[in-house]
Amino acid sequence: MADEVPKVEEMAAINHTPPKTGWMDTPAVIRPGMYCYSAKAKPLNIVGMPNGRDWDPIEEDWHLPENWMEIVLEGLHDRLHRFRSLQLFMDVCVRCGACADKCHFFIGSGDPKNMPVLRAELLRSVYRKEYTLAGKLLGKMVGARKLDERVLKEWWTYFFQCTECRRCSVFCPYGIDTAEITIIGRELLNLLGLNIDWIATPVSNCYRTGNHLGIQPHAFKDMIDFFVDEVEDVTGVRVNPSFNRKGAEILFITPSGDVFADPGTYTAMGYLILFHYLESMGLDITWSTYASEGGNFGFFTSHEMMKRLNAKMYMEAKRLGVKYIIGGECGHMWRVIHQYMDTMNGPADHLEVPKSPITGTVFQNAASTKMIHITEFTADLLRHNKLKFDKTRNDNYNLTFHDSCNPSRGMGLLEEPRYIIKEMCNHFYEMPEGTIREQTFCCGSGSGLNAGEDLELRFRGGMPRANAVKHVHEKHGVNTVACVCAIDRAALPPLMDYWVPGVQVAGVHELVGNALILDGEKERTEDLRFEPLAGMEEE
Amino acid sequence: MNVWISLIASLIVIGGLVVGAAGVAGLAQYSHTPELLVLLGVVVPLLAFIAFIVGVILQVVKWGRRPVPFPIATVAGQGKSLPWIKANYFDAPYTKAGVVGRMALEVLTFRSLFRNTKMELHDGPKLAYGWQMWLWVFALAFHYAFLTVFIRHFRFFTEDGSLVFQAVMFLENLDGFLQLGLPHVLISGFVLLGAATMLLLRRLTNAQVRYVSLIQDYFPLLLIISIALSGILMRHVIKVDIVAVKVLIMSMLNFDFAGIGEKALAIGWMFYLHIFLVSVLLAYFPMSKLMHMGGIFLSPTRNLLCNSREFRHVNPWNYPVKVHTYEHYEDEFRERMIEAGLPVEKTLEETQEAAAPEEKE
Amino acid sequence: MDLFDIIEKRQGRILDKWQDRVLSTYSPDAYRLFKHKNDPFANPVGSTLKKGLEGLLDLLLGEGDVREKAVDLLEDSMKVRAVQDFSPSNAVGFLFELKGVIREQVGKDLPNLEERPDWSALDSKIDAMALAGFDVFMECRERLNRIRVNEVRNLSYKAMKRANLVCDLSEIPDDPDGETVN
Repeated sequence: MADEVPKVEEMAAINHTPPKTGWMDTPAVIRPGMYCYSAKAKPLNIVGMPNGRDWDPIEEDWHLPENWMEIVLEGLHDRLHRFRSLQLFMDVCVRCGACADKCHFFIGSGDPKNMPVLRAELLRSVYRKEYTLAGKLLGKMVGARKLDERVLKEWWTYFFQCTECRRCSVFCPYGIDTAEITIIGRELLNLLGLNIDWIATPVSNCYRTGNHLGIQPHAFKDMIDFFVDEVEDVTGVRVNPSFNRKGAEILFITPSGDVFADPGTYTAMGYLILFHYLESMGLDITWSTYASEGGNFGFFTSHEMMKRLNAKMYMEAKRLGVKYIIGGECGHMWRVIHQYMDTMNGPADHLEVPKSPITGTVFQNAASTKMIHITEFTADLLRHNKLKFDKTRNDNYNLTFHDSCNPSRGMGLLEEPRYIIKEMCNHFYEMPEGTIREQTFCCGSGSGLNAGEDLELRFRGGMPRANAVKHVHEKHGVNTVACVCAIDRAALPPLMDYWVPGVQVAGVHELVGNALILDGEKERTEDLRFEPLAGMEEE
Repeated sequence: MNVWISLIASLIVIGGLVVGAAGVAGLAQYSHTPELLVLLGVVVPLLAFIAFIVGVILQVVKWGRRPVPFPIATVAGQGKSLPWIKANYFDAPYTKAGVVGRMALEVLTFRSLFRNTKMELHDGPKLAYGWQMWLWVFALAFHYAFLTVFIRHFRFFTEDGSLVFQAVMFLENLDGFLQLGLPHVLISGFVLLGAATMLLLRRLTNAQVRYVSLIQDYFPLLLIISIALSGILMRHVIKVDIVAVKVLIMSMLNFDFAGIGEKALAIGWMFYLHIFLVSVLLAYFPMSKLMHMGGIFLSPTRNLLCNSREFRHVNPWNYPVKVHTYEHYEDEFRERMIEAGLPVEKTLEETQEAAAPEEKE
Repeated sequence: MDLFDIIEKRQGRILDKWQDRVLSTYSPDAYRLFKHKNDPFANPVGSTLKKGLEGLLDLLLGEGDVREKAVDLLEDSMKVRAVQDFSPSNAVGFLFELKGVIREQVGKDLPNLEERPDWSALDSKIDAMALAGFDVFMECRERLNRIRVNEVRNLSYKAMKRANLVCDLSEIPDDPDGETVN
């Protein structure tokens, strides 16, 4: 009798694991919240990228050029011959699965195509069909498949679900780097005009105006002037930055996010305060409106586009006649500078090996590229006791440090920012092992994916990072994540807002700006965010 | 590809090879046809060996000829920067010795795989997810056992009493230190068999790995298992006269073809099965994922120095690109730059003067 | 014997089965990671969901207003499901699954389970939990949308507005410099 009662679980029936199909038989679904809007014709045309057109990824017809298949296969052939990495990574994977659960997108979503090995197989399967005898003869049996529109759409979906963070490559026994696969995969897609808007528009802006947001020179200066006012309000000291100044010793380049987006703006104020502090000690530094972008969304487009945008740094350094360049806090900018710039646009013989005018330290590690990271510069100052500061001004901040993917796995900048933070702040707590340093988790929004429309994707991918922050938030009362990346500063605040409300994001030099004691400053009651300092709340 | 199809197809192929080789060998001995045995035991292995050498060289040359345009080392530790910050010698190598060390650790201890294990270990003692740790353990056991077995076989290729022979025999004695059975059980063979079996089981039971596995992952494992099994059987169960094997091999090495048929007939069929499977592995090796052995040495994320700001890396195909120059930029924004008090290369008057003559023409 | 006593006795097993069902709403590859990897930092999704279910089962066996307390307990789990590919019913439906799990685990010992008064008590407690689940899920989705809408304004717009680089309508008087022309 009881049997006749319909079972509750049948009524509630939720979908369990979908019927298992092989990954090749599971088409990619392009879902709102999970994809970025497509690149329009205009920004691609401005920089002369091919096949620019207006198209919509959720529509069936992508208006591909007639001979698209030929273009892609030729492009693949060409790149197999130009990049040993690609050729080798196509050949040597043994599918051991060590990378599978290292990707923040897989950890957060459970979508098997986010396992790095499978992301690479998306491309490798086509490689097998075109380049291996077994693949030609046996096809699907040996994991080979013909390139068709479905495959292309799958590439587009999943190469724009990878943030090129390189975490998987740390664990791969052969050093297979999915970032390399994604970079080249996106390069192939770009041959067909299949970029995303959030990358293509910044690229074309940067090309023309010098920065991603398309800010024209006077507005750039206006914004910095505005910071000058803000700094004066907080410190009582008027700082005096210069722009496009010929004959300066050092050129300073930072991502435009520091100039135009909160909370990066506070970091920019930190730079201004530091430079002002050092001025009387012999620092001679200028900003540029032409090279006003450290970031390089060309890196997320193609090697060529990366080179074209990056070229401005050395060109401007040469025009202004500076001796070397200091770079601000940015993630992928630093991967480009550390691993690509000198090769692409060097040798920078018109520059000199960086030497700190204050401490006399010669930065031998940048002997060829002639560009140093601002945390290297500042850490050296602190080490030589050249800075007077009051670390209690950062007492309201209980900090943790998020290693950004590129500075950690693309250049090994782990200790410099930590050293500065520990000098500048009293309360610092590391996140758990396995989530920091070379194993750091991505913010989930890197490589141009920090658009507004793909928020679900970003929040899934950022979940492992947020989860580690949540841990220190609950355990140590951490309320601020420090980082050295402009994309982090843009992407982490909403991520924290969702997963760990009550945690804010700060650049390392914002903390420096708070703590530095300037000559002739007034008694400070507020930090750069106009929040009262610890102990000053009552006033 | 469905896992069962891959598995069954691999088994059918290997089963066919086994039955074929055993059948031919058995038939040849039964009918006293030494030609077939020479084919199976001498000609096929020789061809396979040539295929192996040529194939491996072609593959490595192919990789080697591809340029490495950018210094894309995976930096897995503190890079070398300021003198008072301790740089990570092996994980962010800044000297050639550091790179050699990094590669050696990678090749000899599978260091990157070990990172998984390290993560497992502070996971607690529960081993439900521990297959990842076993991946490192089994992979290490598998490769070292394979190496030992490989070296051991040199006893068949070296003159009795020669230095190499003595060294090989020393290794074999170590391998058989348990002194179980007669002839002594050699541990490496069993470890090889066991570890390969475990790697196969892992591939079948771990959902993530199973989902990405292909027939080219099952086939070599099954082939190696068959080879190990046939070797062990030949040593302990279906024994063959190993002195006769050595006589055959050494006379081939000395180009002494006299009485080759008789020599071949003196060896039991199991030997022919074993060597035929090894031949298949040799021939298959260069076109398979087994080439990862050579690939690891060439991997640009591992074999490059992490000093790319100190020394310039040259890209052989670097080519000029179109850029937006400062002059273009100033031309577009000159007026506004001047208004904002930004320095310019040319004043408005200068540009008008420059433009004026053109207008006259 | 009381239904709740039996559940309490078999709490571990019931929890395990329930977790199993919830986690099997993901692909088998993901299930393996989510269910078995214990490191909460390497497996945040699985750990969060498992912890959430554990708390809910405790709540079911304890005293007090289920609906109210469930809201807190569901917060973390629902945040996860709200950004994954679930329809609202699938995202929340796992709460009802507990009924099936309990029936399966205690059904043999308690015949005519559905007719027992303590079953209907349990039944309504789970329903209350599920209702709370809908509330929390919707709240998460709304939060997501709020963040999406605010993101642009919070970032560049806010900074540029502070610097007076954009025109702010509130500062413009009504009907400024109006001129009537023919």
